[in-house]
Amino acid sequence: MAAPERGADILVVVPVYNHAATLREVVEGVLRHHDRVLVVDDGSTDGGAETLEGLPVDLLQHPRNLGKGAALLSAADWGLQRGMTHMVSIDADGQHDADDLPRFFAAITEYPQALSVGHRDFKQQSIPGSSRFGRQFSNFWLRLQTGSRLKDSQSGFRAYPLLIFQHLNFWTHRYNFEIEVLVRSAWAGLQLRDVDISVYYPPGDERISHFRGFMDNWRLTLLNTHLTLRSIVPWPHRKIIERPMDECARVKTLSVIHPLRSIRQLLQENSSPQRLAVAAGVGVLLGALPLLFCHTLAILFVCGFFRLNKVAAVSSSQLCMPPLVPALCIEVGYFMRNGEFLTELSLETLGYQAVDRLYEWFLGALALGPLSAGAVALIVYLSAARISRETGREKRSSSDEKSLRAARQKWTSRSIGASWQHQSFYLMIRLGGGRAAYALLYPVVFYYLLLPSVRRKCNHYLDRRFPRSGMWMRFRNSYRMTLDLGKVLVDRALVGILGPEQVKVELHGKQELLALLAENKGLILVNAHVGCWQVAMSALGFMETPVNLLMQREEDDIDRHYFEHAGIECPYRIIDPRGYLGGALEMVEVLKRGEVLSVMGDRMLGDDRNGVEVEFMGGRVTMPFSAYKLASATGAPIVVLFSYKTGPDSYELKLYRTIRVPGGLGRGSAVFLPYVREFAETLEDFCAEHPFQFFNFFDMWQDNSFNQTSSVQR
Amino acid sequence: MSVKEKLKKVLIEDLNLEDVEPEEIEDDMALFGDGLGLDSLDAVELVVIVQKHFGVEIKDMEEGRPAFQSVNTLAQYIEQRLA
Repeated sequence: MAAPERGADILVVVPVYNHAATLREVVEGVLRHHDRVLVVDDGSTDGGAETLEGLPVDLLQHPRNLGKGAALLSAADWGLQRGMTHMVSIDADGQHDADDLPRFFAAITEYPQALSVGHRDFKQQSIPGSSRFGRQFSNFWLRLQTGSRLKDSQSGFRAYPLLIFQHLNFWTHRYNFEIEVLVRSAWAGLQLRDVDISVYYPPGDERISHFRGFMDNWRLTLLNTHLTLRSIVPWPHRKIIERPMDECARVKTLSVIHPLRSIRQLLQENSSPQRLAVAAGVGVLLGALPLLFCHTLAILFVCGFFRLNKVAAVSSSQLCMPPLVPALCIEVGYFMRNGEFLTELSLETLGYQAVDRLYEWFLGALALGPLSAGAVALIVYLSAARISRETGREKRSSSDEKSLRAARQKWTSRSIGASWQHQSFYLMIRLGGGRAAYALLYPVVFYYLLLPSVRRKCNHYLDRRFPRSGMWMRFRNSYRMTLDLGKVLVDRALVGILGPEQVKVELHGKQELLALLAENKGLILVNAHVGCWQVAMSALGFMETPVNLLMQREEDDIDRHYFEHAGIECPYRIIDPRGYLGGALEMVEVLKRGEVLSVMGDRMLGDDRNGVEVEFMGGRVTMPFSAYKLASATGAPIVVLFSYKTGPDSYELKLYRTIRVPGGLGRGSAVFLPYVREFAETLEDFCAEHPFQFFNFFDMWQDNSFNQTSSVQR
Repeated sequence: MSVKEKLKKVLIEDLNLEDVEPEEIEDDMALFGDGLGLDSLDAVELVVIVQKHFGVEIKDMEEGRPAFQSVNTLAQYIEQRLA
């Protein structure tokens, strides 16, 4: 029995980790309502997947436990690959009733762009108090961060539109993923909806939970801190679905100096006169309090929580700017305490008695604050009501257009986040040069390293380079590597913005390079993700030979910024490996012309299948051998050329090794292994000398048997 | 021996195509992808083979690309260049 109409587009996913006892029953229950069912076994060790024998479901297995979030992400990928549009997740521990599934299917049909979350009605059941509290707590954070309200933000019974997995990136992969996905979806413009479901909590010993108290709570705290901080930054979130709710985008045009124009602006953003007035009042009320430098923060929090217009509140709080309002408050407070106004302004009264004045400021604010807040709110309301009457007619016609646009799901640029981060570094460079941008790096890198996912990325390589490090050393090493990468990125932008003379590059091996070029068989530079090749390349100008780079250009590729900011045409010709025959013919062509070809030797590009397994840092990795094949075919010598940063504004570029590959080696990958190994050894030498300048943030040693998909029955 | 026949022979020899006889390669079979199943690095080798056995140097890949479609097109290209 399948769900009506849209059934084929919907995947029901059962993520499971060690719930062998209940799994089969749950899956059978789901199958009664739907026939496209995927079980994601997240590294169970109790053989639960075997209990599915004979059921018509698909099975995806993680080789080890990666977390519920990872399981959902795998399922989403699986569904997207098969052209599905929605995914309903149901827990494997039996706490959800599969008979509620039709309610989710109905919700999907009615609100295809909403994320629906099952709401367990706790009133009917005997629910542990801790669950109840946890739910309230997590609902509170969700509302603080997004302004969206859900009755049960912790429930795992949900219907996801798969488009969010196409367009959003997530940091967490365990339980807190379920929180993160809600927050990011709400920011992206999706509606969060409640779907009422029944609840069944098996008695104590029957229920197995994998929520590991302390660590999971700690992760949750980190996530919440980050999301909350992000939520008060008035930078727009990447929107998947355009909703006419975004008050942040027009910050620039608002100002207390032009109150009427500002109100008109804000009204266009679908705030009602009432809500605008409340927001302005809150701004003034909080602005009058002696919160000392924390006004804006407090206002943003309060507005986030009550979903008030942040811009209106912050703007109106500017009315309380010192010295007038604080002085007035102090006078009022002083009057309340002493029955007279403070007339003597001296070091005595303002300096030594500062604590008294602060107290009076507080007292005065309590009296004046509500009064002035009321007055401002009234004024804003009256003006707003008038303006909105005037513009009412025009607005009505344009709102039709808006909903039409929303329906067409206008996708916006993916890289807003990355772009504003880049921009702030560019700004620092323009304002204060490289040092200023470096200074910004230290806290930013530290902040990012608080995220476990970022640390994990650093440790793939660092754990091999420094195998016996304790927790602090690991953190320190990750910090150094990420910081060095940050500095290189800054230098790259520095050269782009302020010119190549900003950085000195010393070249070792110039004579050898010239001698090799004189052979006129072309020259292959094999690079790696070390140092900064863009900066280093500027030292190669003496060769007076065109340089060609084998490089995949991505839409939001960070390399692009380098040239774009220099305002110069890219000085290299780029050969795209996704072109005809992987760019092979173009590469032969440039070598035949005696030009320089630069390729990355440490990583496979795109869907290049020409890799060979080689020993590297105590493990086996796959490295490309195309460069050696090209050398064999054309007789071009290979040069391993690495750059590294040696000081704030200096780099060195060193010819590490020349590799000669004889002609006529023929087909197959094995014949090139010795030369790939030569390169790998050279890279090992580099890592020994400059451990923090091999910018490797992915697991090149990863076992490829990972994430296999198999079918139970079919 | 015609250019086509020679081409098939050297293709098999120099690319070490095991279990393939010259007769099995059809004149209009695609060299890359589905047909003969050569890959991008074989293309590199092919440039070398053509130069070694026929003395024709493919320098400009704008020309090379249409020539690399099948044995027919490649043989035609070589004959043109030799003429």
